[in-house]
Amino acid sequence: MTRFALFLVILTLSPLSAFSQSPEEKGLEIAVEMNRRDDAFGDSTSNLEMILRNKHGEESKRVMRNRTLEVVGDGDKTLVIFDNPRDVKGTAFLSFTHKIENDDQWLFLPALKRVKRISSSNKSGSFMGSEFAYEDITSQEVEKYTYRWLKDEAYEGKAAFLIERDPVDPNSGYTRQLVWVDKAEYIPLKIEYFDRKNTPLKTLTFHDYQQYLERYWRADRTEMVNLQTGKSTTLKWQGYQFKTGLSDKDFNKNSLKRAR
Amino acid sequence: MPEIHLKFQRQIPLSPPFSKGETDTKDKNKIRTGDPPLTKGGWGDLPLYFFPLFLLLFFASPATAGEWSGYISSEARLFLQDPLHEGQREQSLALAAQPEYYHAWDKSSFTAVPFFRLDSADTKRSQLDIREFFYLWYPGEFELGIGIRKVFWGVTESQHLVDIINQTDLIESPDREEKLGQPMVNLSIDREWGTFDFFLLPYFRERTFPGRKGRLRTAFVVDTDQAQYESSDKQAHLDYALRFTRTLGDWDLALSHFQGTSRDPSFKIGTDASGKPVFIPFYDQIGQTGLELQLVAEAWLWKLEAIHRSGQGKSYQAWTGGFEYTPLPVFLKPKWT
Repeated sequence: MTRFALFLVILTLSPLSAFSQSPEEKGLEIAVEMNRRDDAFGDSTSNLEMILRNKHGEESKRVMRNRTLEVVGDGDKTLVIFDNPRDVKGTAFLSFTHKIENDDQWLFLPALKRVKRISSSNKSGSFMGSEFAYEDITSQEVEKYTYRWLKDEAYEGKAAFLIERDPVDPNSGYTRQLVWVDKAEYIPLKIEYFDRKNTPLKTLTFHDYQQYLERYWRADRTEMVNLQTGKSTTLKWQGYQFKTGLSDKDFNKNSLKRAR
Repeated sequence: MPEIHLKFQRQIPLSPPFSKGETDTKDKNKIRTGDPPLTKGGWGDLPLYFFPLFLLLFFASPATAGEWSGYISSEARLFLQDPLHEGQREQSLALAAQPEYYHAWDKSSFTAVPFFRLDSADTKRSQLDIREFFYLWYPGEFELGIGIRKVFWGVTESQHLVDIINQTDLIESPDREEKLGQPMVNLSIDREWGTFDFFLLPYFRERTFPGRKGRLRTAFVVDTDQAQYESSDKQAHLDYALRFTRTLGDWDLALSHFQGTSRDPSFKIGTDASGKPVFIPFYDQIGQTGLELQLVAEAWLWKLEAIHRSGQGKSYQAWTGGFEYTPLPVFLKPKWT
């Protein structure tokens, strides 16, 4: 009887134990935990440098600023302001991301002083000519994928879960993604993307993670390599700030118009 | 009419110390303007006191805080056929510059955008205008703008029915896309339930028209010096406008009303000082109610604009519709350097 009680205690204390869960349940649990550890950040601001490289190694650079507002129960609101190249300076991009439905997106065109609604259905299209698709940079909500834990596999010496996630949206450019998730911190270390024909398309690696407010992990640098074209894109993040006091009023069409 | 039209425009980082990133100071097309022979007509009807104010700001602003940008453009027009009307030229050269000054404080900003053009053929096209000169205050609950601004309303591209705040600069471009700055006080409130804008427009700006030597003109020249008004207040008539916009899922909706001096003149035939026949613009008092609708459906945008206008002859309605298809996101392709 005491043995049975002990067994029950062990069972309740180890929700991650594999024998009680299907790989799907375990995969989902990892995704939920990743999301939980990153919630309640409120808002954040950062500076972003994007370096585009073609297969000959030629580079092109873009500089932008990012403002993100966490929306409880839905996807985040994001405002991106472009600083460089100079011909797009002052252009600003506002998006309200949603868990399942298409995102709402607006673009401010400074030369025309106009806010323009844009269609967001093309999730697999390139973000600013880079190797990042729009769906790669938009807020990663648990509901956007179905999950399956494959195995535990170390990545560059770090203990990690290897999970597969399949996009729910039929407009996604991917059949599936393989994600290596750090076991200690529940942050992504590497993602492999497979195109609609299920051939490897891109790999994304996360470098130089920093922890902010003793909780939120952000990579200083991410590298996306297109395996099919040889092109690559580096994103360098600087000046992260959290809980800066941004609110809904900083993410509407008026604030889009005066963003610069 | 066969026309050769060359336009060259270049963004110029006017003050490298304030701009981040690379700046191209070796601009091959830098233009020395010398003494601009600006004519009286070229000043248009803009209140002249804005210009000294602008100059004051130009020099008095602390050098560490402001931000300059802008462009210089040159344009050549060459017409291969003889002109239809007396006085018109076969070719013209034009130079234009539009610097922009911007300064931001914590909860407010100031923007100044003067515009200069020199045209070799049409003296009316040589002009100095203030496109924007305004102070914007945004403490959080609302946004208040005071000064000369440009405000665009509408969703369609083929024509802008609803757009009415700014006067068209027809000299600058015959496609009616260029606008003159409009003096205004604008209160804007942006909430969950939508955006509400209120405009007071204390000063009216007349439409610009090409002069006698201008090629892209009507048979009779429009004599802007003889402009007439329905209101005895003429240009000082206080116009007002309201607009409400709201996004409901995939729908964007806007309702607006304008009451005041029509931006589109009607024309009477008269004569100028030398007895030549001319068109005389007449500015009616009108009321215009506008509706804008836009639906996002996957890669398609469906658009509708409709207006009801009264005060200019018989009341009338007009509408325009359109669609836009975006197979790829709007963002630019990389330029390899």
